[in-house]
Amino acid sequence: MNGALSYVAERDVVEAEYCPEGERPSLETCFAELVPEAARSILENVSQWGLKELWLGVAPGNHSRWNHTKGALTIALRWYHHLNRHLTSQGLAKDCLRQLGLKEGAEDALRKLVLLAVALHDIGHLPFAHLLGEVLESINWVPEGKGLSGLEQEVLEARFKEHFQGLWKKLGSELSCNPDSVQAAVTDLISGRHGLPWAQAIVNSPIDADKLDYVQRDSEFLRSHTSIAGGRLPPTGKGQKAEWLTEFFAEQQVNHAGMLCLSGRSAVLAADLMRDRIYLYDRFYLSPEIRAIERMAFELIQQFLIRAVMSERFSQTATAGTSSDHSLESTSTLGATMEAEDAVGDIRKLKCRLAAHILMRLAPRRRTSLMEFTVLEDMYRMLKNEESVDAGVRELWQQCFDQLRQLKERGVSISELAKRALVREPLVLKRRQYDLALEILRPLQHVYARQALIDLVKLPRALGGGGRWRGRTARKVDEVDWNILVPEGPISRWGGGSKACRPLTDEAVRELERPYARVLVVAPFGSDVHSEYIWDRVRAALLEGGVELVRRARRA
Amino acid sequence: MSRVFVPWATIGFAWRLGHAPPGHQGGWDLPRLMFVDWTYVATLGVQHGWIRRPVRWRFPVPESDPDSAAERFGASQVRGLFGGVRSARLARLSEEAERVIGDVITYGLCEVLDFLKKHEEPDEVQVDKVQFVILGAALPKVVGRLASLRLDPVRIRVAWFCPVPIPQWISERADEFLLIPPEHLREEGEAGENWEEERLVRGWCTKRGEKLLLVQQLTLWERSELNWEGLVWAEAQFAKSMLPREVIAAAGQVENRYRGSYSLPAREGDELVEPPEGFRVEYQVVRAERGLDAWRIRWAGRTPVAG
Amino acid sequence: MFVLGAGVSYGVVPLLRDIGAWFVQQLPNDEQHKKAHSLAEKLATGKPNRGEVAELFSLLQSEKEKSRGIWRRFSEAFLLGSDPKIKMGEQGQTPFSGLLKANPSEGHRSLAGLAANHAAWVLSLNFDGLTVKALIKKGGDAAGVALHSAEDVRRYFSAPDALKSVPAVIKVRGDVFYARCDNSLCPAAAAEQALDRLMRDPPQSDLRCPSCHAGQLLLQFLFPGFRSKEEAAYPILWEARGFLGPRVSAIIIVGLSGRWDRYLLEFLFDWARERELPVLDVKPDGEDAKVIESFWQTYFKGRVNFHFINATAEEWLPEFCRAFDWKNP
Repeated sequence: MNGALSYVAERDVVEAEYCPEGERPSLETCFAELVPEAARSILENVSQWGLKELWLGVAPGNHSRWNHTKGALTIALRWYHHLNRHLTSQGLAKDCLRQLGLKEGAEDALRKLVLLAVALHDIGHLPFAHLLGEVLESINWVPEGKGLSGLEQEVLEARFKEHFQGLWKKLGSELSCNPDSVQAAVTDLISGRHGLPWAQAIVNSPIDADKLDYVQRDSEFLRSHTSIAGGRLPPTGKGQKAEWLTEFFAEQQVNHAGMLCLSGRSAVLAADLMRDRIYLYDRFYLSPEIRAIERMAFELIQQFLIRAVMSERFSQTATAGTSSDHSLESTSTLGATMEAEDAVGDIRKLKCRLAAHILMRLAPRRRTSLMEFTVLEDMYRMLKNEESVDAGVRELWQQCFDQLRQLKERGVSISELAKRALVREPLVLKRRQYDLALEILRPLQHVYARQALIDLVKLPRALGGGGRWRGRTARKVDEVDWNILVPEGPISRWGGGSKACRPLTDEAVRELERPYARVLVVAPFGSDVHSEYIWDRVRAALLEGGVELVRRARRA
Repeated sequence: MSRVFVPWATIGFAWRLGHAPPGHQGGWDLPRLMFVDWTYVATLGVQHGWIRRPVRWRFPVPESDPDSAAERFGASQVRGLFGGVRSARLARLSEEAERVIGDVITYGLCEVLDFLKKHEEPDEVQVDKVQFVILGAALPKVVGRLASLRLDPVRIRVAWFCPVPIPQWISERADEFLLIPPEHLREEGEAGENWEEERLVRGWCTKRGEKLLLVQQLTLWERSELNWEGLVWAEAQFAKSMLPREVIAAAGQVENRYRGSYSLPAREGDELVEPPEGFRVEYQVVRAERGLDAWRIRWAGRTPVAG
Repeated sequence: MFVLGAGVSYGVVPLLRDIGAWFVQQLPNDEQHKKAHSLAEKLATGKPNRGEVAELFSLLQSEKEKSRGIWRRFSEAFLLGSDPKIKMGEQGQTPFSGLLKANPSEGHRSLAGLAANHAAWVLSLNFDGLTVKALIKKGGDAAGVALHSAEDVRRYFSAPDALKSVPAVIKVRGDVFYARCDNSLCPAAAAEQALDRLMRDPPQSDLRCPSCHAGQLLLQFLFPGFRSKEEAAYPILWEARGFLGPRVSAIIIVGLSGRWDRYLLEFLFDWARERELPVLDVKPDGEDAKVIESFWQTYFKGRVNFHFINATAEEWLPEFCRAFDWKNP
């Protein structure tokens, strides 16, 4: 609730591993009265990985979004200081302030805006991490919009309104401007649509502080807990993280136009970051083994949300006894909203909002060690009692949930379960045919819903994050915002002495792309003759529909 | 021993483009909105049923596909006198219209199921099955949404009834060449293979009075027969065809909504409005229960029961 | 972001119809020049189509001696203001003292103020170089650079080592008028020079070629047909959009009829649609006043927030720039 603001103590914000020896105290003082407590309590309750921690057999909680945010904040602060020193020495600092309409001497205010954007960049996330976004995309409940996904945008706006009004007012007074402008600037930075390129690069870009932290953090975690991703991950020993960052900043500067210039070693490490990120997606986050399990959870979440939004009875039962987040209370039910006088409903936006509202109510306010699984269990409990649902489908759901529970209770490992449930090998196609494949597979999933689950996922682009835009005149353009400059030539030729001279674009990082999508057939009852038939049908339908299947995916 | 009656519920809807109220910034070149008026009629017992208060949902008209700015008139292009030619603007409008129709019908079906659960009639019949009829042709987005509900195909059957040729009231802007797959335009029992392997909908034509009636049925997993015996057919003036009485009643109430015979939002005490000429079948309002979104009705005549 | 058309320089630089009127006076009214004369008359009345303008200037720049004489006199009148002078204004009363001596208007100066403070970007379709001149004249830290090609734009935004930030004016169409040396032995005979590169302070008094000092700079009018101009414009437009995309909060079109520039309007409105930017069209009421609004209504209504402002650049720009005080947002 809005009221007197309280802030997280400075020393509780700094992530020591990212600080060189002796630099910590000065970094700490910069966090005084910056990060609201409300942000910590929201972020502590949400896992960075959703259910993945559980699947890996690790106690959830180590990987909270708060821990990740601290890391990203520390990186952002070190980064900001480096760039600001350079800007000041070049006399460009006041140009940056002018571009934002800030007065001279407001450097501290600019730093606060940037750091606050980093501190709040995950505020729009709900339980289940990106799986939830995938579920909503699969049923086309994501409104068209710019920047953040529709769901993240909805939750972010609601939480900003609910928890941070006092913060905007305070900053507005410090900056002598409208609190709405402060909120808009922070929202723009978070969603990748801000007009100051170097500041935007820190908050949301293909090499932002968020990625710098989670690639390191996840690599370290995977190395110490599993063998899933192999030995390919970046070094994360004591002192190495801080050193890596120092080297990453070393040949960075900001040019006269506010562009972030990555030359020499800075460019090489940026390329490494992008490469490692794609590697993590390919070999861990979206690996077939993990996807097989996530697909089962996906099914339960999707079915739950469809009913919860479309059936008022189901929704009331599901949320009975939960407290409401009153910022979302205004969207009561689909029917009530659409029937209100003069209501004009953007139906996708409305469904997205209702889904967010229901999840907010289901997620317990106090962090429990099994938060996401508890919510999943509640969802399943509701679903299994639905009489209108086909008995065969309910059996499949039960099998899905039982498998997941076994995994949670460590009665079976990921590899064992994946081996049992994955039918044959993944079907690999080009990413640009993802939409076509989706249309082909949709009816197949309906037909085979009693026996198997069909999963379709695409690997992200090398340039993830940041703003993207599309030109739609006779010439079609799909491009990332040009905020960062990198050296000429292919990435493999970047190295010492290479100077930043062209924008970072998809073309510049073509070498890093793994432009593929994968189709899996998952058989919760275990792979058998019948599920193999389904795999055959899926393959045949894709080929018949004009999808080119890649025989073997290229590895970097 | 209780007799089992298989209830019929029919969902009727009308989609129209209309003007936005003053002050509303519509999309596209004119301030317009999409309006979907809809209702359902359910026969739950031997002679009684329910009519839902018809409602109007409004949706924004989507921005036309930006590619339309690059259209050139040219000297030899096909414009599509009968459709069949890609127009970015029409494609966008169709997509959005079919999407909102799909959502309305899915929501309506869920509401009927919830309603039936709330209003079982233990003394007279057991409501453990229901057959839905939707007036119009099946659209893939509707079929996909209903399939997503993973409905028990034995207990819950869904069908579409549509006179052929399609009457103006049902579709002003499209015709059977666009809406109906050719393999559905055969009479049932005619020789010929349906070539689709994973079929979601099967369809056929049957004679009803002077016109053909297209019947399409949601067919997931197994083919469960529609129970025709529960239906009472009546002459539908608006369609110049024979249709089940529930369908005519639903169409009548949707027409009432379109003509503004109901206020929005509905207030307590709103009476069930007599449908206009051409949409009438015989029923009486037995008791209008306050606070509900529906009126109880009693059908005139006898209704056979299904075994 | 301001998009500038000829109306910004109204009263300072002749319009195409003023040039047409000068040619009507100068061209002999004989059989040999009949066609050119007729086209010039059409240009003078302000109602030619693109093809007619292109044909006129092609004829005038042809190899025929007499035409070359007329064209040479025009180059001198246009650049140096030599006699006979080109007359400007509604009644053709104001003699033009030549482009090299032209001074920026109040509108140019106001824009230069915003650009110097990094509060605005400028895309110009004009050939007169007066916005850059206003930047240079502003003094202090202000200097200015004109960017004529996609490569120029990329180099500007990608320069890592610039010691200070210099505001830029992006020349969208490339210039309609160029200068070229008439001495065929000179390298500058093959290379077109943008007119703003000839701007000096104080202005030069002759047109001697700076490369060979033997030849004279002659105007070259590049308007062979709109298609190649559009093709030349696209690279720079897309390059500008790539770099400026998130930096722009509104698109303000000043003094541009839009009659010749459908491709540009489509581009600008598409940009506005993508970034949810408002578009303002500033020009006085008159014959071509509603061309842009009509384009918006036909293709982008409901998708882009558009406003027409009935005012001249001279009236509106200074007031707007004063009101838009970046120091107090």
